[in-house]
Amino acid sequence: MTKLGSWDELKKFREDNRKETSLLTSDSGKTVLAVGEATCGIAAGAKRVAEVLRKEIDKQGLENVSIIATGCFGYCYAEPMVEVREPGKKSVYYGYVTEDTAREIVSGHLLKGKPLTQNILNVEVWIP
Amino acid sequence: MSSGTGQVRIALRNCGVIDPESIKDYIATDGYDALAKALFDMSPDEVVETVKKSGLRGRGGAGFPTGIKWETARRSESDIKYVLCNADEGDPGAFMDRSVLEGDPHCVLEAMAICGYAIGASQGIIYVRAEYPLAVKRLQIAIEQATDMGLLGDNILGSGFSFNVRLYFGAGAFVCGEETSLMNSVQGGRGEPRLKPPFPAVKGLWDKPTNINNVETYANVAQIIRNGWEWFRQFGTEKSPGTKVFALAGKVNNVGLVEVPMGTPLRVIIEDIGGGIRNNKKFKAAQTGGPSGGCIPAEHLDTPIEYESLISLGSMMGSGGMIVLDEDDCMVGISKFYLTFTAEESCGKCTPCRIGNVRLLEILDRITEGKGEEKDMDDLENLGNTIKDTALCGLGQSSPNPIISTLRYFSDEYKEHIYHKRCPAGSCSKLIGYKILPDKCTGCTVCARNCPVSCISGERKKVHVIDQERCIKCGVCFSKCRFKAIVRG
Repeated sequence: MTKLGSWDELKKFREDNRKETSLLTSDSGKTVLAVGEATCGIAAGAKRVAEVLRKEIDKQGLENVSIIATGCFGYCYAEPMVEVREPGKKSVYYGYVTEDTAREIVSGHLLKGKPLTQNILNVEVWIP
Repeated sequence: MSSGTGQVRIALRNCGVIDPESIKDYIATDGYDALAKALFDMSPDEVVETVKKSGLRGRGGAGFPTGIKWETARRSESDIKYVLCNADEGDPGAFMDRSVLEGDPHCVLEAMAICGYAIGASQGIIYVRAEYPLAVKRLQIAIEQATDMGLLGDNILGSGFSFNVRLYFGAGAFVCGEETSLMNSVQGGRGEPRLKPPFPAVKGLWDKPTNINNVETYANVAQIIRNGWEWFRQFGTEKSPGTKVFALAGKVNNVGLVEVPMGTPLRVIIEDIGGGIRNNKKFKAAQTGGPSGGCIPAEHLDTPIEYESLISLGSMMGSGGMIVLDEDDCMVGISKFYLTFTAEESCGKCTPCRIGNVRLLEILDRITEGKGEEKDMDDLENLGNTIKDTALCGLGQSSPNPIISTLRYFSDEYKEHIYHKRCPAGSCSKLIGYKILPDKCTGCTVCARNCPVSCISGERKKVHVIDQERCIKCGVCFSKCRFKAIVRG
């Protein structure tokens, strides 16, 4: 990895890599599925959910979608959790995600562009 | 701006948002900018001053002002100083620190480096529980990435300032969350506390000045440096600025982590964010502060939560564990649960804690077995207060709190146990029994088939009977009966 030698280099690195990170930026054009993989999520089955998502995405040939593992979003009761981040749209949070729900997220939400009607969590947190 | 649920995330801002194993993600959320700002735009004194003015207080439990700790460590003269992070989260039901380390490990590293610059230290140590393997793994990855990129190590960002972080694994002793015990443990000694003063900021690890803060405290630091102390003070209350993360557990619908501004009423956390009590049961109390804290009853649900208000209610902030109790929880039993924990975890160095807690536990055992005596409540209170006044460290000084707070708010429950040998919550197994009402029993055999010790007999369509001698009082029959034919009493 690059060694950063000054504050300016840090700032430049940030700008250069912004599009590559899993965070949703309006110009990235990429959809990110964030699966909560802290201890709570993993215990509830997040690893298998991520695996199913990965398989389905491969199967459907979706190239502009990436899956990342995040930490705990705090909604431990609703794990496993999957957040769908699409450019220019508000994130959709799914809770109690089973392997079946994971397949539906890919076939319904990603392919048909329609968020599922079930499993949606009303997430409202303010990050100042 | 502020959301309806009342959650405001500063310490948890990246948790569940970024990939904790990607330093690019962290940097993209302005990560390591606070460190750069401190190194290039601020003097160490200015950093200390900013933390002081922010009013940030220790999130590990006691609420000591973080800036004062930093200032003391800065003023202590020494060739070597240390920055320590207390990640020995041990309260039953508390998992805030684990979540921060698993979800955003870099924010702790960045804060420790800022602290090192402020106090004049170049070595950081994180004391983390070995029982948190995922947190350990993510910390190791983060340290490696930050070192590779020149954000830790020698001459950070060309500033001339050097700072290294290493991990030290705790073996699971609760007392090692107490700072002097923790330091003994890091040095390879027994996890035992010592008298303070001298405080760690003056004489800490290997007798060198050491700043020790908890994970959540550090998780606030980078944001304070980046946005300024005025920004931080817009959240929370005058005496307790900022936010606090709570690990909401127990009989509440939405178990999880919540971060709310200090001063938020308990009711908002339990009813709005927590979604109320499970199965429409009645709220009885909220236990905060773990084994060092106490129980807050329903009549105080509207108290704004901050360090002082919780202490005046006989509880404490603690590290942020919050266990919600309902009508089925016996308050004597809850005290016994925590006392069993502290009696086991007492390191044994001082007599009040080593022997006193065991005596307290014996009294509670007697009460829950129906052998309570009239003088027991006075004895619990006197002995409890004596232990609080005389124990060597925070563990013993707070271990009687669960008893003292439940005596204060739920003395009727103690009296029921002592005078009437009854457990009103129906939880103390020695004090309850199950009986089948002959006029209601339909002989459906469900109870008999579900009894784990097969002590219920009776023919189909005829009244069943429980063999009281063999009954283990598990309550399975009680919950399985569809005809309300089984009573507890």
